[in-house]
Amino acid sequence: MSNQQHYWKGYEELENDPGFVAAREKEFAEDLPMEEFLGNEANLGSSQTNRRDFLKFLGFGVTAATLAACETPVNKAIPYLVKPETITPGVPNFYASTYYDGRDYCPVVVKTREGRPIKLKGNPASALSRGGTNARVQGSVLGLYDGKRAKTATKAGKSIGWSAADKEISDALKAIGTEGKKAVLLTNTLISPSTRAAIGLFLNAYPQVEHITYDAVSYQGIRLAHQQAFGKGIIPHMDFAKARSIVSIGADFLNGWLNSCAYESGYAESRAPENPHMSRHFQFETLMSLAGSNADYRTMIKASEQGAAVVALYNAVAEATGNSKVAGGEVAFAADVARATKHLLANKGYGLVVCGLNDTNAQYLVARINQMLGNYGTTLSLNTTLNMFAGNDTAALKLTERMKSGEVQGLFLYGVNPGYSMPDAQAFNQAMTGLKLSVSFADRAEESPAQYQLPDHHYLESWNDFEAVSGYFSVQQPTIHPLFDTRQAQETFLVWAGQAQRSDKNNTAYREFMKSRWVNVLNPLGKSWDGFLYEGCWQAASAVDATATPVSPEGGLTAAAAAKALTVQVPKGFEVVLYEKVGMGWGNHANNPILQELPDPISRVTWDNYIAMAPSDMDAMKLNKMMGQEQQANVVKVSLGNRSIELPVLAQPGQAPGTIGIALGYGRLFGRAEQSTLGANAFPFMATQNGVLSPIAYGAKLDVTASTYALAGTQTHHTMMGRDIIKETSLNEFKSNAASGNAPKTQHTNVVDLIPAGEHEAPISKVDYWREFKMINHRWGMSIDLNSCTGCGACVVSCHVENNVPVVGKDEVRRSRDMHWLRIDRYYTSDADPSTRYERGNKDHRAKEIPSANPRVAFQPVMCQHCNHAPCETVCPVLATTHSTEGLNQMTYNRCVGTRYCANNCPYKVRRFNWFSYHDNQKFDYFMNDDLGKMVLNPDVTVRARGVMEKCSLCVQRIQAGKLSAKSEGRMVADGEIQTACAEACPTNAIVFGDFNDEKGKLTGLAQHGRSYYLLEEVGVKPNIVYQTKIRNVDEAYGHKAAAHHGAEHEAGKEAHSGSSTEAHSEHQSH
Amino acid sequence: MRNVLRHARLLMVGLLIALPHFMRAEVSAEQGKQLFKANCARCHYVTDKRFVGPGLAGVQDRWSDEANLLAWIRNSSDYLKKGDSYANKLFAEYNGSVMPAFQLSDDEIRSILAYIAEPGDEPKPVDPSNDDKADASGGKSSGDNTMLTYVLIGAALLLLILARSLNSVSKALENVRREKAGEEPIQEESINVVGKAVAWMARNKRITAVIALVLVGWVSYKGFVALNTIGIYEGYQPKQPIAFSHKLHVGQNKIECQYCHSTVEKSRHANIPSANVCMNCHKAVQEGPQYGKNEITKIYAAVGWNPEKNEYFKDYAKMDKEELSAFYGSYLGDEKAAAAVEPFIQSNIEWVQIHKLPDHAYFNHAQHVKVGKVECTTCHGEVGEMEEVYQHSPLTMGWCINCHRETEVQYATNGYYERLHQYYKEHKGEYEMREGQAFTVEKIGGLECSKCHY
Repeated sequence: MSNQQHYWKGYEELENDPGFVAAREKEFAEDLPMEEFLGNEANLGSSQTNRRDFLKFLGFGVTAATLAACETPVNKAIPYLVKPETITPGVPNFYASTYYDGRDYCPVVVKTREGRPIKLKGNPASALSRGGTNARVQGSVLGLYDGKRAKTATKAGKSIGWSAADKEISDALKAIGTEGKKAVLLTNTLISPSTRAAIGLFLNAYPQVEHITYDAVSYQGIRLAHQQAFGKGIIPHMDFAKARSIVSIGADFLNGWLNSCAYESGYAESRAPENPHMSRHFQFETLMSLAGSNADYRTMIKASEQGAAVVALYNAVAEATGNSKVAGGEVAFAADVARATKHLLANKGYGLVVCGLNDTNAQYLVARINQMLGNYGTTLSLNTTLNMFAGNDTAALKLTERMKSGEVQGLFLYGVNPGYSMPDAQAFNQAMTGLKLSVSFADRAEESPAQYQLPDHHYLESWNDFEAVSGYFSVQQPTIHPLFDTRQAQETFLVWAGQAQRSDKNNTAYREFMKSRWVNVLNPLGKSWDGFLYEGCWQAASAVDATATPVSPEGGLTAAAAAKALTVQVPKGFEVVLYEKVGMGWGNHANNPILQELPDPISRVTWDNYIAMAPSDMDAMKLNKMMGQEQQANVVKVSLGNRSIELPVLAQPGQAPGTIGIALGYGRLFGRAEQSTLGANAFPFMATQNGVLSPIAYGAKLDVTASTYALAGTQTHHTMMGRDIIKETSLNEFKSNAASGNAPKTQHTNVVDLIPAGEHEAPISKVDYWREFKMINHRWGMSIDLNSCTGCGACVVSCHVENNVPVVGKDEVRRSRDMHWLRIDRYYTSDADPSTRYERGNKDHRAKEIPSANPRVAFQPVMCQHCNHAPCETVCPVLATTHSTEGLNQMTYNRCVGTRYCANNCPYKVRRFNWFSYHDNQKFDYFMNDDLGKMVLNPDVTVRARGVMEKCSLCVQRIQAGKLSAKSEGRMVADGEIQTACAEACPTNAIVFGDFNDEKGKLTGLAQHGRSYYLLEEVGVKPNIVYQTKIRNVDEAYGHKAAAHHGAEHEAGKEAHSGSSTEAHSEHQSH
Repeated sequence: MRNVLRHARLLMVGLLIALPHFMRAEVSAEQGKQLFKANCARCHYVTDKRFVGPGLAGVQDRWSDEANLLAWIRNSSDYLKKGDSYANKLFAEYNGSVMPAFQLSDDEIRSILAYIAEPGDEPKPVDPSNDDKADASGGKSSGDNTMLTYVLIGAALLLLILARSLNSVSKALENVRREKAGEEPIQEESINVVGKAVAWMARNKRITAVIALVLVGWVSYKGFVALNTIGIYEGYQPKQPIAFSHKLHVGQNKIECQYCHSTVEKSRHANIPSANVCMNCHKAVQEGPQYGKNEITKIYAAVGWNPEKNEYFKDYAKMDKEELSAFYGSYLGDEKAAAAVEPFIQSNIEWVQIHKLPDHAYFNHAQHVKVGKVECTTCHGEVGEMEEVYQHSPLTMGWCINCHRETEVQYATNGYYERLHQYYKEHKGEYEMREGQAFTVEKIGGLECSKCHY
């Protein structure tokens, strides 16, 4: 632990807001608002319920309950008539498939029970994602059971048969053709070879149809730049695992930038401190992104400075590599650029420079920087390319004009929703309503007003194949019979092209089409189609990577010209940066309550988007920086030209002053449940620069409105009360001492080193109030590597889906009643004088406001720590929470009477209380209370009733299943055989589940590592969850050694303590 | 009631068995019956009805030479090579299906033939609708005694009325006597029972108190016991849509439980077999001993089997329901039975679940049957003796826990327990593993909450 670091969760804590101080003293933020649920207060006041009535009701209630209980309920047990061979009731089946929605690509393995998909995990066979997932992918299984999905083909909102729709549409298309007009098929980037082939057949049959690819968030600049630099309009495949020096200028490659789902695992691999070359990550960015929050060095720059930053880096690299410099690139943060350059040069050939600007000039310079550093061929590949994001912005943006002019008379929308995501969506929609023919394949009613809606299957009902990166194939196969009368779009294309007959909704026409193509590819290689379906992924012989040779086409772009184009004056006013949130992305999952309730990794806000603003700017505008139950955010109107939106403002440390950040994907109006239409749509602020879409806009005007708005954040809940629970150190210190930064905390006010034990005094770790208890067979536990954790939230969603955790909605989150079993705490840290650290009586932290403008960030997943000396267990009056012989802290719902003593006594604040019967209450109309949404529930986990506690069970259902399969086969449980939902979802393998009693197991090895520590070890609860210190690859020392000037006694104390603690834990193994 | 019926049935079965029967020194029809069931009944009826093979009634008359018949039965394919014309004719008639060879002695075959000649009483088909079962909503444990209670209460009421009327008769007679004797008639108060009782109670306060206490205690106890049965469905025996007899299938035909409940070793659920499993046998077995065709046809109606052509209907789901109804009606030749089959046409078989644990309790069959090697009958009772299955065990938590306390873990033979086994070998006599103590499920955490509740 550092003596010079101060950790804080938000401005409320930093400034000791009185509301916050009052709230943090309480585990439960608010008393139950009884009157709200008892109905009208006036009625309540006038009504008379006296003691006699009460007794009557009581008597009646008891009698009724007794009578009701007497009746034997009749349950039907209906077997299959002909049982499918592969289905065994009660045993899950797993199928390889792939998630792709135009935004995210992720090969997955789908878990089905009795034919229902209920859970996803990453497909480890994929060389791209390596078994990783992200939050959106994890949450997408719920989208299958979304009641707002379109149920059948419709025309102008009225049901029309599929064959009638086919006929009408092809007639209309023919009419358009004979008139000599055009129709446009607007799709997202198609990375499926078979889909492209099917669409190709359709385009051949109807030459009047033109295919335009459009991505809501564009990366066309990279393709254009590579065309200019290397003569290939590609996006190179990036391998973060090989990178030793990563420089990102505004690119959030851990969330949202390109194929981020696949970058996470490589990034984490490169950052393992045990690795001989732990990568160093420099981030120059405007808003606090997920990548930026994981960076070693984060430089806060304005959006308008990003171009200059690229030029500055170009010049610095050019100078060192003997290339000519270009004009421009004078920046205030030259020292930071120099530091990054130095590191890049020291790791030539193993660097990776990425840039978030969708600008040909900037990307051209970035490509040149990478080429000068020799990074092509190792971390970047020109021959293995990313096939995603091949949108043509110019053509897409012209479409509105072409529709208006009457040139384009028909429009097909497949995988896109331009009526929501176009910068001028209103004009687009207006033009669209004037068309002769407009068809949408969307799975629900959308903003784009299409005449015909031909709903596509959900991806879990579909057949498809993908090639996200050239040579890396994966397959998509249905895991459920289609729920509604939908048809896969590819089949429709084939039917329209006259290449197939309508099959039933199981989509056999497209399957056969796809299969015949694959059989031709695979069979000559000695591989089978079934094998491909089984594995889910297949990698063709990979292309040979060559080092890049620059080409200079005649009249093409030069570095000087690019640099010149980048140094332009921007209009005055605020700079708006549009970004994607972990939960919402582009808004494809807007009706997914689990993803809506997932707290943003940085701001911890749920359900809404907002204006992220630098705290200093907020002070200047006199806006409320606090967020909490009693705190309302100011609503500000952002105007840019003739477009404006109103949103609440949130103080975001790390946001560059003079800039604001707004998340995309919110404010969707169609195909959503009422409670999911929160926030405002920020796509209108999407700018066009040199013909491509750019998420950065300049010259915004901010007007403070009189209204306020309550945001629901989990930020100030469950605070650690100023205890240092995150431990971190620098790489150098770690290398000289693996346990660096890992000293047990001794300074907590409530802790004394020695406590009475019998006649003597002993260190707290040596004293047991409990009878010693042996865990002979298993001692389950988990290791969480804070260094690998990027805070992405995949584990939170995975846990949510696996364990039937209810969604409580925005209002309840505001009351601190979120139900997440696993939360990811985000701490901001800034260097500070140890004397100002939080102690009782020392509450003045105002001096730290300046360093907090660009704080470091640390993430810490916290779930039940399964303490061996659990404080919750001793206070339960009904023994509803007890300890198992396998080290689990068990929660028995049917025994719990809801005293909530346990939650009050938990030092980690991980217990959650069911204030309502969420599964069965119209007030919580999310997914658990309707028949369709209930299909996603895990049948092996109880759905909890009102009034009981719940918390992380360490996925005990999976432990039991794993043990059972071992017992059935008469062998011991293999290491890594059992995976908790969080460990399974983690793209960076930060979470490792295992058995401490398995001496050769991975967990035991991790627990014995010097980086390991236990959360709040000083309180003596002996957890079964072990954390690994976060290592930052920075030159600056953390001063752990400096702390040793207290004397050798401190060091010795530390050793004794850590020694004793390992002993304390090994006790359980040795007896 | 159920018990009464069960006993009655047992008695009937006993009587049947006890009937005097045909006996010979070496060749016994009784032995033949057993042998027939074990070897022949899969393909032959003792009547002249055709099955997989021909009906065997009168088989000895059809074969002139007993030696040939014995050879034919022992190994038909060998015998066929002899070129017997009758045997070859049979072979052709039954589509060239060969009867398997049997390891039977001549006497044993003769016993079988003796049984075929005198098969005795075959059970007659019974109409299941005449069976007065408790219907699905009834049948909780206390229900068994309800009738008895009502009878007793009724009897008590009758006796009370009788006592009352006798009392008034005697009072009237006494008054007549007194009138004649010129005495005063009996005063109403003096014969008021209540008044007398109150007066008596006022005099004997202690005895009253004791009686009252005993009464209150008894009522409380009874109430407590009654309340304890709420939610416990021991003995629950709902009426099932098909009168499937476990007694016949398990008890008599000795079909293994796992043949139908095949997932019991793989899954938490012991599945109810899908209809295609029934059809494995019932393609051939088209009539049952108790209900004839009536019940089996319900399965046919569900899966779409044409018993007249011995094949599945093509595109069954798309066929006309009326037509099918008429078809099965004419096949059964019985209006009442046809009506019972009607709801099964093109639909599922909706069995009534008997054993149900609450949602918060997780039970896994595979754990108990495959790993724990617990017999099915331990929890489900002697299903082979149940005509219709009922819940044998209370399925309460106390009942589960008791078993976990008593059942020993087979840790020495299962590699999973290696670590435990090793530990206890090295730490003999320690704490939970004292000498002579059983290593029960409890010892491996079998009483912990999260083993069943999560």
